[in-house]
Amino acid sequence: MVLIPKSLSLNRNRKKQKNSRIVVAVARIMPLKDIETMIRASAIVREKIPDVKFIVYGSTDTDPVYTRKCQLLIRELRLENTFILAGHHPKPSEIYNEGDISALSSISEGFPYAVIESMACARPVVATDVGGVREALEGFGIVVKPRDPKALAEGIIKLLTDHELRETLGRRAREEVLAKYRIDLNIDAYRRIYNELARPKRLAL
Amino acid sequence: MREDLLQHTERKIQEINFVKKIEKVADEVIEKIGNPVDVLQVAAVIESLGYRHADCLVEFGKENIFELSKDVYKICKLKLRADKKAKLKRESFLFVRKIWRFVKYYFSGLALGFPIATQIGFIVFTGYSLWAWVRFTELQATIVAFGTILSFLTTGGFTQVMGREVTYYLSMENKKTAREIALQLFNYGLIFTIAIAIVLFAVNFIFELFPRKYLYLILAYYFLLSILWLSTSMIYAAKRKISITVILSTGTIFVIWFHKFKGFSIHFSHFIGLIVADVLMYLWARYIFRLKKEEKEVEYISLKVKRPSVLTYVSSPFFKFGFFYFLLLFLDRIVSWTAYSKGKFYFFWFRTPYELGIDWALLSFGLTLAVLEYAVNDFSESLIPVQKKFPAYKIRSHNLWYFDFYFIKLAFLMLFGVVSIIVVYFAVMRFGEVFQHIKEVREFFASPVTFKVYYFASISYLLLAIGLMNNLLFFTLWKPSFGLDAIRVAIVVDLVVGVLASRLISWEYGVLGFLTGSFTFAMLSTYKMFKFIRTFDYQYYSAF
Repeated sequence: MVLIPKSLSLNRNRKKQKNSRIVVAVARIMPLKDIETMIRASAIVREKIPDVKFIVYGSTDTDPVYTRKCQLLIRELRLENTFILAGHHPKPSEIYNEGDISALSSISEGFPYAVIESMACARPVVATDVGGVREALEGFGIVVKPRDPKALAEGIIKLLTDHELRETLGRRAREEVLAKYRIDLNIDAYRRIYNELARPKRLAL
Repeated sequence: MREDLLQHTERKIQEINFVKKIEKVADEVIEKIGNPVDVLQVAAVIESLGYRHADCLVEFGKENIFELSKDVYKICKLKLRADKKAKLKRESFLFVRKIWRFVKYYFSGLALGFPIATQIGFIVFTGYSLWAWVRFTELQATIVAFGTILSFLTTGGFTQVMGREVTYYLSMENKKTAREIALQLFNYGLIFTIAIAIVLFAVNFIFELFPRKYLYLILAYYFLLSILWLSTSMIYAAKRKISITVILSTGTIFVIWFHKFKGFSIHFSHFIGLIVADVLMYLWARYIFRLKKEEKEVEYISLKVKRPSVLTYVSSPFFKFGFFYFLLLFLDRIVSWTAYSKGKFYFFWFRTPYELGIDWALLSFGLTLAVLEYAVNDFSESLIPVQKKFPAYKIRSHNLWYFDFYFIKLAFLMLFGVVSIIVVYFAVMRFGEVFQHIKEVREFFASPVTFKVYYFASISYLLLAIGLMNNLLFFTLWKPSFGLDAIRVAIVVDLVVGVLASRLISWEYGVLGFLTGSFTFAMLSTYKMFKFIRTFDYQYYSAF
């Protein structure tokens, strides 16, 4: 079995002028993404950093009932000016460049693009330890326990308040993506495997 | 010694906490998959719920997810067994509950027909309704009938789509989008109504179907009734049924007042009544869909109004069905009233005995239709519990369950339909005996055509109800194409048989078209239903 990692076209993931104290997330609003935990985490973060903003980009139509639940939670915790469900956005590079860091609160994942796209934009990620997240993020971001708003909030506060750590992790994350998840590497890997499989096997005499 | 005791107590407390937490996980597993099949399935679900190997020891006192899932599996089974016992107890009340549900939904279905029932009441007791009068000449009735039928055909698609879209958004508690789509569909309907009016005007200009002054009257009835159906459907979608009856009755009172007490002509009185009803209905719809201050301020809304192109694509099957349904409902009248008959002046000529026969049959149709409300609600409510009851490897049994469900509902509908026909027949005959001293009542029973049409039409309506039930079940799982195919063929059969019978035998035999058309609709849609149920697992899976 050969493992070929996901890849990105990096041309579109250039750095832009960034704002401060903004946490972005790319996730459809659905239970699997556990947006409720992120909302609760944002309330904890706001206590330390009052001007923080969480902007979640992703379709709100996937599970309207869950979306409604999240909206009510936002209202209940009085986070209307802190937590924004911004709907679908077609360009990930613009999303990540809008924020200082990105967050992922999923309770189940494979190997999420959201993480490596953010890394490609030199935005360190605070993500839950599910699926292949640890594999992608260890050493380049913060991995936290799933379903734990406090742990997620602590990770976010740490990155938002420690400028040097944020810069270092962001830079290293981008280098990691450039080294491992480039699309040309991915194409080469596939080509190698196809060539290998297509080559007639020699029988041992 | 004391330290030992303390440690022992602490351990016990921790164990209790672990058990509580494991029970919580079991609840989550049951909520997600219902009855688990084995431990490995539970392990997979637990992992997908965000629990990790690493936390198992600290959080649950278990080595890893697999150890945890063994306990969770056992707890799930125990919980479900306890549920089963409670369910068995509850089942003794099931029969009473089923009857209560039927009564509730049946009367809710009857309430849907209440506005029309009130109009019939007005006609019987005062001689007037919002757009009819017992003393209409056949020419006057022709004008009104043409305008009425055209208004139903023009707005049928819009009202059908309005019902689906607005109800959907309201069920999501998304009033802002529901309001927008309701007003948008009203506007589209209005524009389409005007376009059809222009086309009719142009066709009449070329072919001179009706003299110009009658055409204006037709267009006035057509336009005012179309607006009435469009605004009424907004209120229907918002489930404010009583207000519709009140507004229609208010309009009718205006008609009576202006005609009987002010001496205005019947058409002018009707126009005043219709304008009053239109304005009230539209304003009331706007009021129902008004946005409160906090609703206006919500910047973000999930599910915005679809783009016109998307709306057209998604709604077109429902739009077509709305149009085809009204076409099937009126085609026999169009065919019969355009066939040659004695005293026919224009290409389309209203025939009182025929209409009376149809209206008589319509009474039993109203009583039968209410059963559909029960059937559809029962179907919708069964979907999730029934699916949870069957494990994945028993798909066939799951689908077979719906065969039983369907046959019971079909038998029930037919039984109710036949009883309704008999009850309505004898009730109307008795009414005729009691009130035979009244001229209009005697006239009702004067023509054998009325009886002939009643016999055929009452059976046709029962068959139509079967087709409609099938269709509503298809619609519930967003599979309109099954019903569309059936109704398309039914319309062709209706037209061909109707034209042949009305031209070769006698004009009133256009009703045979209705009979064969409804029969085709019922048969084809039932056949499609078998196919639908055989693949029910797929139909359900792909519905949402």
